Amino acid sequence: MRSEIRRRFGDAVDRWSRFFMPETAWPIRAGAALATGLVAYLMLVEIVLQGVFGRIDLALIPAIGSRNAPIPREIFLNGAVVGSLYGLIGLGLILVYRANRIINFAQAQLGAVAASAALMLLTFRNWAYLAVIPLVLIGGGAVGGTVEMVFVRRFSRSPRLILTVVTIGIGLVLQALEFFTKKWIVGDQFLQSVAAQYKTPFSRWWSQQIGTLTFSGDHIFTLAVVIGLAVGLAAFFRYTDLGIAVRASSENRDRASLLGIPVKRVSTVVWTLAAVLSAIGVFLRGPLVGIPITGFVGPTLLLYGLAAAVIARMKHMYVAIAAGMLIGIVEQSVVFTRSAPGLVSPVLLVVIVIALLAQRSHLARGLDPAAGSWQAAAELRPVPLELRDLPVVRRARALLQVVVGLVVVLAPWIVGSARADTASRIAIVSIVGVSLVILTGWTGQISLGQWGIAALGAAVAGGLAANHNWDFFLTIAVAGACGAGVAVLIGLPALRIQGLFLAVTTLAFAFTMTDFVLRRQWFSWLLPEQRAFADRPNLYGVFDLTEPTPLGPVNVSADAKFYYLCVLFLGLALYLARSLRKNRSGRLLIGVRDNPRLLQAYGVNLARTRLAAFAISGFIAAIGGALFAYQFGQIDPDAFLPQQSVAIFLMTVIGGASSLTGAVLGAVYVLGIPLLPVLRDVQFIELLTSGFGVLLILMALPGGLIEGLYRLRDGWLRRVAERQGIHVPSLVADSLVLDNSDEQQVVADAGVSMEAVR
Amino acid sequence: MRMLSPDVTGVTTPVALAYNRRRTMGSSKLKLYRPFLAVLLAQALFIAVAPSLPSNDKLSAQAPLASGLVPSDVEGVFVDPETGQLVTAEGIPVDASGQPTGTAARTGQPGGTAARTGGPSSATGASADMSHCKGDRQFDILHANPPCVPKWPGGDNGGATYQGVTKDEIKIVFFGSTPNPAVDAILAPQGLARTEDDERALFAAAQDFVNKNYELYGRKIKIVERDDNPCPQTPPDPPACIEAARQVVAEEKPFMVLWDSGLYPTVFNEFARLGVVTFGGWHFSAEYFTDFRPFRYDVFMDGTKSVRMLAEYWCKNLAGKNATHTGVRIHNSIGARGTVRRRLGISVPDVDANLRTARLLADLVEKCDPGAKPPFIRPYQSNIETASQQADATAAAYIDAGVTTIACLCDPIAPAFGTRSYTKNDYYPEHLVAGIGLLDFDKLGRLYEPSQWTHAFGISHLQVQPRHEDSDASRMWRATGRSGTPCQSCNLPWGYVALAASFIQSAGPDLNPLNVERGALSGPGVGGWKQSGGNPHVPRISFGPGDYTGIDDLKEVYWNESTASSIDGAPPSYVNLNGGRRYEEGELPGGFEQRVPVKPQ
Repeated sequence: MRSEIRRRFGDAVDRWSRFFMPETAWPIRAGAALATGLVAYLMLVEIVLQGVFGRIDLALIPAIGSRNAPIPREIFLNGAVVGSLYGLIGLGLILVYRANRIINFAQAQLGAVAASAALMLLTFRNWAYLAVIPLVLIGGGAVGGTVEMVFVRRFSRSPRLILTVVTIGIGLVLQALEFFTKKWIVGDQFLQSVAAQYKTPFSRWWSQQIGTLTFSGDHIFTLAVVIGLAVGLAAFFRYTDLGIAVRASSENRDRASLLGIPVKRVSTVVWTLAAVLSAIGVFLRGPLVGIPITGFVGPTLLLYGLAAAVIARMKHMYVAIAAGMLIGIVEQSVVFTRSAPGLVSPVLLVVIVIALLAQRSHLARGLDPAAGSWQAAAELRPVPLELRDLPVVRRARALLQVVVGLVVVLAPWIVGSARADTASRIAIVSIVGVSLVILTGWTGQISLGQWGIAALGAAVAGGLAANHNWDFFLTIAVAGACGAGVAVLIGLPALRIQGLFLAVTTLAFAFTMTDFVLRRQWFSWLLPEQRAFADRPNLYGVFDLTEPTPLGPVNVSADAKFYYLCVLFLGLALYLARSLRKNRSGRLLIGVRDNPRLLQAYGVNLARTRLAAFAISGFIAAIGGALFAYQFGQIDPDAFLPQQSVAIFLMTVIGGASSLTGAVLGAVYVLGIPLLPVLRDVQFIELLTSGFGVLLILMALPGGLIEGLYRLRDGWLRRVAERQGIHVPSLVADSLVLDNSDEQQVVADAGVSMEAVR
Repeated sequence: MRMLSPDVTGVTTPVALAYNRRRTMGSSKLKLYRPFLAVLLAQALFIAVAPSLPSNDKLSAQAPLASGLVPSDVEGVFVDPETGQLVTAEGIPVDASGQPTGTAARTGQPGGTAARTGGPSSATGASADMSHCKGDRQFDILHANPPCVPKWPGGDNGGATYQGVTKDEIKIVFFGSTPNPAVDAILAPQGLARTEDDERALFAAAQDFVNKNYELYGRKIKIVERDDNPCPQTPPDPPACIEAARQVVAEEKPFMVLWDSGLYPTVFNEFARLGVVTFGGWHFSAEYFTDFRPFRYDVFMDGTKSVRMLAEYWCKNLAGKNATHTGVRIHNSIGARGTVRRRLGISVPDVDANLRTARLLADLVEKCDPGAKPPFIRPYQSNIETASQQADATAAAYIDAGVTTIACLCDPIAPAFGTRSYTKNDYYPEHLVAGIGLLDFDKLGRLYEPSQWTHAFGISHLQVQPRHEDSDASRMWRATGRSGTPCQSCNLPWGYVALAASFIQSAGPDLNPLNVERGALSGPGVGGWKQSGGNPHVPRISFGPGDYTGIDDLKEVYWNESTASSIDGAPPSYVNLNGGRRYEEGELPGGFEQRVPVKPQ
């Protein structure tokens, strides 16, 4: 019976979908699309959402719905308008994704410089509305084009993770630029710009009160522009040569290049378009809800935009807009209905997961053909066999090990004993970085919420230690187990869906942790009480980590002792990960990343392999979080903001996301550099480790810091080989490649083309 | 068993194969994980035999007693904070060694160990030198001067009585977070930001002033400015700030830390855990300060008392009446001004501690206004990215609930988004100024949508600002022989230094947190409307059992577009009612309608 229903339903869908086929006349197709959209919207909004939030008594889940608080229609409407702007961010993300196959973290920031400048001129310098429009469009586009030519083009051959991180740096630089541009325009009135009312001709043109809210011409104009842009872009991609070229180069950049498509120019056009979209988005947002004082977008709006784009399969413009509207409606409905804005994140997480699972059959069909190229950097190759046993190489290796060992042991004294705490934090962040290497570097699953899993570990271990006085190792084990379990739950959708889709769910999870799970009003039973501290333990009743220990002439402070404990756990995490990588399980993970179909052909259970990666990664991350709880003694939601997850992602990629050494290097660089005594007092040293510095580093070392290490080591080995008169093919090949990068490019392109032919 | 193995017996039936496969896999896996299992077993054994338990929380030794008594240095002996007397847990008077005695066993009797138990009274006997006193005050330079204590005759002050204290010096750290260049760029034109040079000059003067005018029992204070911390003002980074706190304590070993901040409760907790007396944490709840006694104090009124006084204002002035100070129409779906009975809406950050404070306010309001609809609490997330969107939904919720009067127990930026949204949606309620979060500061009030804030009235903790040249900071500045005035925003840090100095003075020669607490809680306090003869520049600052925060009184205000501010001489600003008269709890008057005008729009 059920299969019969399914068959009939399938037939109906099939018949309906024929309307969309190219052979049908376009008015019929457009009408069908409109009708479908309308029906879907009405069903979703009026029946499902209204039902969930207002009309149906869901007493079993009292946090979600209530009969006493039906959601008025205007909340839906307002949510749809505000959400359409999320959809616009999603559109920009889709554009860049299709050109470069990356998440553009700078998407909303691309146009913010021009658009916010235009808004300031409009409001504080009384410029005419029509006079600022060209500034929005041309200025926004110019920023996008410049960014592409200066930064993106330089990284066009870099691993995608690197380019993704480059966009974070670009976003930070643009944010600073936006701030100073605004300040330059408004001068001393900057404080007033916080609450500025941005009036447009449309604000005065029409105004209508609907229920509790008042709508103006700005709402209508916004909706019209956003829908117009979606239609226009869809037409652009379908009917124009340039649009088709963009699609072609997004399908296969190398093949497109061989077919004569100027892929670089196409990329510039795409970034320019994306920036114009961004500028329009900020400009439209001003009169509706205002613009933040410093910068336009952070992880919240990124999540909303990314969710819209992903639900649209990084492809369909209309769907992205509709998904953005849906997210806006959910957000407004939750804030309106429940006196708990913290519920937005968990509800959104559920919506995203359901939306992804509902279309997993589409998403699973190799939507991301270049999934394997998420690999961030070459893994550390062993020293060539020919040189490995040379005394000079052996001595150098031993010397390096001694130096590294000494640095690790003496770190609390190098940074100053009073800063040993930060050294511990570096070790903890490195542990979480190791978990990210396993998940992202080796398995190819992008996680933007790894710090969220660490937060769970911190909450569990902190609560057990502070409230129940549990044994330290037991709390660590329970935290790790919880982390593994939750990581598997988050990863379930990723069994069929690759790449970016996990990034969205993990980012939503990170928000859920900060806004919901780490809040005492919801989880007081889990978290330490206000006055309770997760005190550092007295290990086995012998090694008290809260008291200093004199060791001969040296006094080992309590902080230094805890640092050694963290280093011990980091060592264990590295050992575990290294063992994993060396044996069959590790090779399976790499296989899952690089060629899952081939792996399936060998009878490997992909689902189990991926889940194992999630579990191991979650286990390690949660242990890092548990140590963090002991390190600081308290659980503060602000310590686990989603920005931190993105920052850890950035650190790991800077170091080299597929290298364990890289994970540690990234953490040491970002957190450790400002601690060094010689650099501590240098003004603006943080710039080196934030946006601008990241850009500089990646421009010099596109493979991350680990690449710098490779170069140093291989250069030295080459000299050793020359001196000893040993011919080492791999080292020589490298140098040849470095000497003739054009030829290497041709060889690489040919390789890719051959792969495509096969 | 071995016989079943196919390679031995040649048996290849499916069952045998399956059995063999399971057996070989099982044994090899067991072999593979044997070391791991051994470690696990050993660890389990250790957990059972020698568990690694958390070390004792040092704060638990200072746990508050139900009786309100303060533990002294001697086990089983406590200080009655109201009388300063040493008592047992049962309230029996004892001497410093714990032996029962008569009333003579008061702390601070001259000589011996008792003299160092605490209190400024090492010379309270007949020979006490009070010649320097100006009336009952230590000096008469400031608007609010500390109580006079006898001059220290010299001798043994106990030396290093606590961390950061020697026989000659008391170290105080002024902790500062790293300024955000963007935020400073915004605040500087408003005169709200301080430079490092400003602070350095202020603290040099403050140090001179305190060492010269306060009784420090043979010691001098040394103020160390530590604003080189990697602790950002914004965005929040608690781990970095906790590390900075630990670093400051490890490097400076201060007795006290002053931090004029309303953020980072976990960092203040950490200072308390490290046994450092701290001042700061605006409007945290009374419960919070009591939880972390005897280490936590602040100048500003705690959140609990603030909402009690706000509830008192509501109950005496607004409860049970129609909303008369709204816009002409509150909202089309609610009704016109004066026709709708008041309903309170409370905007509050979505943080547990703040929510509890909001619920307390709601409970108190509900009790005094039983017939009305209960107050409507709307939490919001302090997320600048989504603030506007939240404001729209919140406005809709308020309108839907028929809220006529909104109290924002929030940060000073939140109302900027809220009021903009209310105006956009033609919603003009009354705005009840709660006096917290500096919303009652003229320059911040100007951030809010004028058509909304014109309907703002309520209570303000801030005292009427004198001219800058006449402020306490400027008076202190000139008293040290310096010319001109300190920076515009230097009054706040000076307030903290002055309070710290008063505490040290009242603690006596045996300087430690318990004696600081005893001295603070049993002291008479300073300032106040009545005590100062009706001086609006002088708030009442006192402490007592369960009250670890300073300011006790407040004034009535309303917002007016045409009134010039005393801060910068420009309109608009708050109008102080009754000449800035200050009221303590229970003293607030009713009948606000006669004092606060109804605005035409």
